[in-house]
Amino acid sequence: MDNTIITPLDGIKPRPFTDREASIKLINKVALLVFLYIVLLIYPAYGLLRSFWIPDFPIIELKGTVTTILIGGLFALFLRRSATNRVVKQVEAIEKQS
Amino acid sequence: MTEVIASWIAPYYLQIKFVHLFFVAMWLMSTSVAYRFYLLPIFQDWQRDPENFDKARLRNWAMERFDDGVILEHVAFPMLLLTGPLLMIAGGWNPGQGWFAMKMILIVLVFIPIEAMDYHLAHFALNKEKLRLAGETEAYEDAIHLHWWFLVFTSPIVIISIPYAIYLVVVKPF
Repeated sequence: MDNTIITPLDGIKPRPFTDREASIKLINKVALLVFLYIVLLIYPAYGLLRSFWIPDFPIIELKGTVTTILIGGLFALFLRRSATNRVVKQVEAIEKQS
Repeated sequence: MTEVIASWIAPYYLQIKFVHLFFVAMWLMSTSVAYRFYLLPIFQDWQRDPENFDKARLRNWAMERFDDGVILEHVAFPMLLLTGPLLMIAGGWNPGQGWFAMKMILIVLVFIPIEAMDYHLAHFALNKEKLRLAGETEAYEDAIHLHWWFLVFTSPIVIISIPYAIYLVVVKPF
């Protein structure tokens, strides 16, 4: 472990996060992937796992599907908002300065 | 086989639970202060003024320290993967119980993939200090960007999923 306080740049050229559109595209893509991951993987995996122990347990049913879509959608929106605050708003601040 | 192991470790259920809870606490809280009150403001300050070399140096220093700081989390996680199944066997828990099945799903499909990536970013190929000392300047900057995006996307996930996992275990709602 290097305990030097404030390490030197050592030739590193910091690359700013300046591409607002690319950042928004990436955030939207990841939010969509997370939504699909919850709906298409986590929810069916839960049903499948339980069905190994309870043979007549439905892997997918209407109430569970609707709940999962709602929760997945809200979660994707939360993730999108949080990521936007962390990255896009900083890029916008740079744009305002220049 | 499982019954033999269960009968052997069942008398130690509470001791195993103590070890498990101790490492749960270490795993879930060890990086939160460093991330929220050090890394995040330092990184955002640099993002608003990316040409400033002093802020860039501070960013690099904070990220390198964060790579070391997650050691506690990454020692705790394997201990959870070890003591969790022991608790399952000793306590007779199984995925027939809804809360337990959901917790298993969270561990396998959420926590393990996130932690695997986190090990890679912090300790293995993308450890920033190693890259800096090796003179890999381009790879260093790429690793910083990737790590930042990783933190940006995983923070909301763990903020929700970890308290939910604890709620499932404590309340056993279904």
